[in-house]
Amino acid sequence: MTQQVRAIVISGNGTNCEREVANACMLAGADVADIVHISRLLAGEVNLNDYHFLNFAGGFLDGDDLGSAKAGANRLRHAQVANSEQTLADQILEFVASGKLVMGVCNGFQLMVKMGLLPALDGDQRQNTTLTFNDGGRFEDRWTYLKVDTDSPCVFTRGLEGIYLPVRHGEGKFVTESDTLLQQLEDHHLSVLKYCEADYQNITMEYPLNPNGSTAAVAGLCDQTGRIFGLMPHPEAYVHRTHHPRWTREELPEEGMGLWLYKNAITFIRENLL
Amino acid sequence: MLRYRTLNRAQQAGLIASCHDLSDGGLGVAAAETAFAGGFGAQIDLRKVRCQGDLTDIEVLYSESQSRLLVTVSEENAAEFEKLFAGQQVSLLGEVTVEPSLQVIGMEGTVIIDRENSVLKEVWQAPLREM
Repeated sequence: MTQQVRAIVISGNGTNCEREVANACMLAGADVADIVHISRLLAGEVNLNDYHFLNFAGGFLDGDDLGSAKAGANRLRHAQVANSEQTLADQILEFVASGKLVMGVCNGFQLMVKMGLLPALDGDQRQNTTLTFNDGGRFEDRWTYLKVDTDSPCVFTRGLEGIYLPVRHGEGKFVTESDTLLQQLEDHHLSVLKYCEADYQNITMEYPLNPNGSTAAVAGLCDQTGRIFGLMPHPEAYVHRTHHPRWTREELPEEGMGLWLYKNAITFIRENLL
Repeated sequence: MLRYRTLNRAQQAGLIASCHDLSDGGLGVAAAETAFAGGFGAQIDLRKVRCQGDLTDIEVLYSESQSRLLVTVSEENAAEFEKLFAGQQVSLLGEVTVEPSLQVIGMEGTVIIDRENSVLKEVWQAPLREM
């Protein structure tokens, strides 16, 4: 492989944020950010091995049939890649095992959770958490303050303490199958992003700061390697100061906070995978 | 179309500080929303609004007749902006103020609205908050 940082963004079957995600990858310093339709992966025309950074973008995968991203998750788990014995899920697990990075945003996060790619505690690939209907019963479109667990192994949030990002989802309430599992996620510092107050300190269950009633205010989750990361808020939607809701009356840095997550990913790839 | 093409040229030339359409609440709401966004205030005179026939304060303030735009332009760009729009329907309604409040002079020449942005914004946001 050449000395290029290569990102891939999966599109098709209802995703709608793939161009923004690819743009964020490029702004963060990726050399390549290919938008690839899922059918090309299933047809075996494009190989994940040619990339370092796999992105699942937001949208409404397969119409969110059976719940957000559920039908899409089943497709990835069970549909066979042409001329191969593998499913796409198998290939994604190989991709992960080779030390590479995966990030899912919004519907992409829902997909990862429903495939069992997250939290995947101790290699458990069952789906044992979910992202379900917001407590408010409505689609939420608003900006949220997120507190970073600085003890988390998450590669993407290195050096960060708080970020401000927009959510837009109807099913963002994180739920675990048991309190024990939730406690394990907390103990391992895997629940890396939590909805908080504007000070980036106090985690909150109060609406609208916590837009969906998420258990333990969880907004983002990583696995134990820190290389697999999913979040409900959209980092690709804040890569420039003019994306900020108050940009016309606040002095803001040129670069948006969402870009930091992508920059951390690219830095990790340059330092570890090239 | 000429209006929008000219507007685009003005934007490309960096002559426009802000621009808001007069839909959803007309001039009154556009002026208030512009003030909220920029954190400045405005003083506008309804008698300067181009309209046909005798209209009431309420009609001029809240009419949503289409293809109208409220634009703010810095003083140093005013002459060039007006030159671009020469011969088109454009009028100077008032000025942006540092003081963050909205003052509106009505058709009778008296002040009909004089409120701080914070008060107007509370009224503007309240229905959404209660939903």
